[in-house]
Amino acid sequence: MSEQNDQIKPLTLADVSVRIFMRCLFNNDTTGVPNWDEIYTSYIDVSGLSQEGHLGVLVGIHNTECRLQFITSWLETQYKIFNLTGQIYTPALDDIKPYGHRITADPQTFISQLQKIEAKEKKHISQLRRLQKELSALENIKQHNTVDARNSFVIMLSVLRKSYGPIDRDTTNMEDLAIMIKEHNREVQAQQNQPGA
Amino acid sequence: MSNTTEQNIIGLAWDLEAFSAQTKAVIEQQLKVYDLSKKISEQEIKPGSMGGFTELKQKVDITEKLRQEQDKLIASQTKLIASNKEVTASLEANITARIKLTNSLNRELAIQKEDLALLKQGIITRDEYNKRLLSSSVQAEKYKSQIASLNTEIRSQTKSQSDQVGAYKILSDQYNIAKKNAQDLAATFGVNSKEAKLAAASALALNAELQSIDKTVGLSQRNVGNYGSALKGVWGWMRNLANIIPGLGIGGVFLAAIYPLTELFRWLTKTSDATKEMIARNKLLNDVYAEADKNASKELTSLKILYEGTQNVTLSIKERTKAALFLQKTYPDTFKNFTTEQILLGQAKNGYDALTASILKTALASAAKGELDKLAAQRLEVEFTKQKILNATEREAAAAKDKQIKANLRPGEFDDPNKTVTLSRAQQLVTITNRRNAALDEQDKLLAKITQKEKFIIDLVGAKNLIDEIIGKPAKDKVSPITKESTKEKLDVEFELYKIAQQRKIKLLNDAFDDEKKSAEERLQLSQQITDAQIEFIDKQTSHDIKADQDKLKAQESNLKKAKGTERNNLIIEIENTKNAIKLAKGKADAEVIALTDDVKKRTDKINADEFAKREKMWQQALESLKNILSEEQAAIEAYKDKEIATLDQALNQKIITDKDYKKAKEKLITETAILSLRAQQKELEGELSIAQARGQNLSTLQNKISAIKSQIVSLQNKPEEKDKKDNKALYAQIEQDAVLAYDFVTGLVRNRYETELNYIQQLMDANNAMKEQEVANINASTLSSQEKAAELIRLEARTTAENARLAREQAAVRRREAIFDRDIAVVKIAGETAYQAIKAGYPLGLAIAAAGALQIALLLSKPIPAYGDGTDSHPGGPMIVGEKPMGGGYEPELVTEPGGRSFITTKPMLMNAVKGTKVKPLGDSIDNVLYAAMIKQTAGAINSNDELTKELIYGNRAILAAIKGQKAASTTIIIDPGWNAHLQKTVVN
Repeated sequence: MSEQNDQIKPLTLADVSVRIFMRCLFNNDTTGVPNWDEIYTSYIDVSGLSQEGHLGVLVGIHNTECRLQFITSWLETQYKIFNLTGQIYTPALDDIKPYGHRITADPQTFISQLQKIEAKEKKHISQLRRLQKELSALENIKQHNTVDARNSFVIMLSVLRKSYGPIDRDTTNMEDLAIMIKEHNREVQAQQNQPGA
Repeated sequence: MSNTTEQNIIGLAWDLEAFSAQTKAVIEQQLKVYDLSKKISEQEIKPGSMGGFTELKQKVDITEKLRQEQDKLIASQTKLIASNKEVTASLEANITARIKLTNSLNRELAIQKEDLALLKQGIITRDEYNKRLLSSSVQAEKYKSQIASLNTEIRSQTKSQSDQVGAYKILSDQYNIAKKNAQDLAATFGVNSKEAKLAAASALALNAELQSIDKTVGLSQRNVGNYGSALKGVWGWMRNLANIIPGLGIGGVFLAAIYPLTELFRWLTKTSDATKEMIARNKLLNDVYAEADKNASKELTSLKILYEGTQNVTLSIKERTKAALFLQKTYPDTFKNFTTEQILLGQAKNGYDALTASILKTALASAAKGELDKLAAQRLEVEFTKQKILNATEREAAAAKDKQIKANLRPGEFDDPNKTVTLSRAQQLVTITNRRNAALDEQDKLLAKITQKEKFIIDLVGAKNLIDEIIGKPAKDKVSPITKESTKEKLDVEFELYKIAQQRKIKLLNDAFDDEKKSAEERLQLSQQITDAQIEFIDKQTSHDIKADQDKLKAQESNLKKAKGTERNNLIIEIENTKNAIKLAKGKADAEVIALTDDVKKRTDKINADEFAKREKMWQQALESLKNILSEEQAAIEAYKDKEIATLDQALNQKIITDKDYKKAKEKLITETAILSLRAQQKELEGELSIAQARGQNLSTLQNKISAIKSQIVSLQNKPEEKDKKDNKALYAQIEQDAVLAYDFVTGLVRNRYETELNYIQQLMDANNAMKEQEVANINASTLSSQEKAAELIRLEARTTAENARLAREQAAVRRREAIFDRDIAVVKIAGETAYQAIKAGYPLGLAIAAAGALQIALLLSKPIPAYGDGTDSHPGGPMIVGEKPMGGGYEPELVTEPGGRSFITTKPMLMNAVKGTKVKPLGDSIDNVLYAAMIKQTAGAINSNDELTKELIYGNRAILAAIKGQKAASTTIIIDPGWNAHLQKTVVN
């Protein structure tokens, strides 16, 4: 093997055949697909299979974590500098404003102001917990065993073949398949929405 | 710090460069961590973004990388802190080295002075002096150079240290605030106004303090604030933070990877606790400084005015000299080594500065002492609480014993809702110990806090200054507690500290001892504690004095070897004096301990006297209470009696009861109430007896009174009983007579009837047989053919056999009826006789009568009653006979078990009404004596009144008589079974 091939390159959805995709998804064998997570998320996005609610919850969790991470770090910086020097780190005072907190550079009340921010942020921890529960509920609904999932996938392939002709597992790439899925779903949806359907 | 700008004072300006290199490094690291957090915050996905899962994945990946970088930074920050600690260690080493060098330099300078004196006295030549001067000057310069080098390093290190922690920073802040205040006042009231001058003096004093610290590197090197631990918490939190949000995946992986961020806020809260602690400590500090400021400001103002007066060239020399002389007079320790001219020329500036600092220190020490006194009082209070906890739990443990407690079972868990369980003493002791330990732990925490505060104050003010303040030595000229403390001084300081603490402890213990609200036990313990503390104090004082004298003796003996002539003689006398002093110190200690013994005795006597007075009071109260209770009880008894008599009167008036019954009831009531009254008196006297016993008084009078009352009660109780017994005897005789007559009459009739019937049937059978024989003879004698004869004989035989069989059946039926009667009459005999005998003995067997009832027995005589001599698994319900099967000389015992679980054992035949499903099991010889005895006791316990049962029996006998008269036959006998009575007497009574 040459030096160039020693390093496995990240793949795109268009680089992965249906067979390889099925191997990764149903056999948990991601050999040769180093960025499987990315491939899968691309597939979900391109095919439109993602549930909006699911993505919304995940984004909510991510955003809340980012917020808590920042505010915690901000508070810690202010506490530490104030404790070390007795002075307020004024350059960062405005950074907290986008998060809805107001603070003044008054050394006498500074610590109590920080404590108030701490207290106010607790509701976001509750929010995070709520989102986690919601996600857990969604995950539970989505649980399929592997055999069922594989069968569904194969049935889906045969349905698509009726509409789009032969789909070879080795020569068809996943990007094409994902687009077919999206298109098929759109058509089905359109038929259902027709009056009298 | 004196160059701090106003902007910095109020904390609005941000200038990282203003901080020391170490602080700067820590802050820089923190800011890097913060910058990464800002980048993380930028990874938030905006609403309406079309990126889908792909975008989310990318953002999450970036966030993860940023967090990993944060981890690295935090690790590096931790290392930085560790290196700061190393710098601190280095600073301490430098300070020690500088002290040594300064001492060496002073020694060289002193040598130079001595040499000059020797030169003046002509002891050494000018050449010799020059030679020595050159040598010592070279050496002194070398020391100076080293000191200067160390000074630079120490100043740099001190600055960085004091920026982070310590009293130096706080003092510096105070100074800045005071300075600003002075400037404000000067602008408002004018530069020469009284207010401005006072404020300036205050700021100046703080400045002098700072300068003093700068010179000596005193307080700044101490870890007075607990910032160390507070910061440790912060950095610990940071390390945790690094682990908080690990990598995120998609789907379930995503969910599993989310770390509960509550941990993060827990750490935040922890940090804010540390901050709160810091604020509380600063408050304590401010209190001390405010008090010190109040104490020192007046003196500092005077000093400043005087000293500045000496330096004010616009004043006349006379005025300036006057001020200088006053200074020398007022502060001789500081200014006595300066001439007036030197003071006027400003050469005493250093002395003045040191004096200013010293005044502030004294004031600080005074204020700190006040705080320490408060803390000592708190400490003692906690110690008392601990002692109380120990006493209470010890008492509880000593009193603990196995006890029954309600099981508190869940509903339906057991049938018995009042089920109890045993709580063993060991279990109780474990609970008590756990409770005690928890309570003591809390108190220990309080003690630890107090100790921490005390240490904080002592470190802040300097132990030596504190001692000077307490023992009354002028603290002036004592610049730093660290620079001048030799080992001996340190030991002295430790001892003086101990002395102060111990004296304070003894005083507070004495105060507590005098508190009469405390119990005798507590006061005795306090007395013991006072004695222990005093003895410990005497021991330490003596050993300290002796050690000092011994050191002195050692030095004197050492000098003696070198001394000659008069000096030697003087030393010998001094040595003798020192030895005597050591002996005296020992003797003094012994005498003091003996004197203490007297004190203990006095204290104990005082406690005993107080306690005796308390007990006397308590006894009097108890006696009064007993008398009150008695009078209340007597009143209640009288009221009861009146009410009952009124009811009886009413009943008599309405002719509900007869005169005889009225009198009887009234007499009974009077007797009852008299007994109740006497019992109340007895109770009261017994109470008095126990009190008298506790007081150690003569008991005979009370005992006689109680005996008299007891005998009265007994006589009242026995009187009606005898009468009842007499009445009952006649009644029993009547019952017996009635019963015998009834049974004789009825059973005689019935049995004769059965006998007649049977005889008649037998006669019919005999006649039938005779008739058959006659018929056979007639047939044989007839002219019929042999074949016809045979046929006739067969018919005859069949008819006779059939007739005989019918008669035999009739005979069997009669015999069966007779048997049934025999059985039934036996039942009546059994029930009646056992009940009768039981009543006669005074312990009626209520169960037999109560279960079946005399009337029921009579009614049942016409029905077949199952008898279970061989037992049964399921009784159909209704009356049954048990225990009737003879065995040996008596009857076989049987175990009767009702479906509800109630069981008992029979040893005699019994008729009883039993519910459906009752089981009877013959026990043969294997009777369980324990169960049997228990049943007998239960039976006896269930019976309340002889009268009721007697009535029941009389009524029952009559009913039986009436029922039996309906029977058609013959006679029976009554068997009296006195064994039952004897058995009951033996089992129950004895």
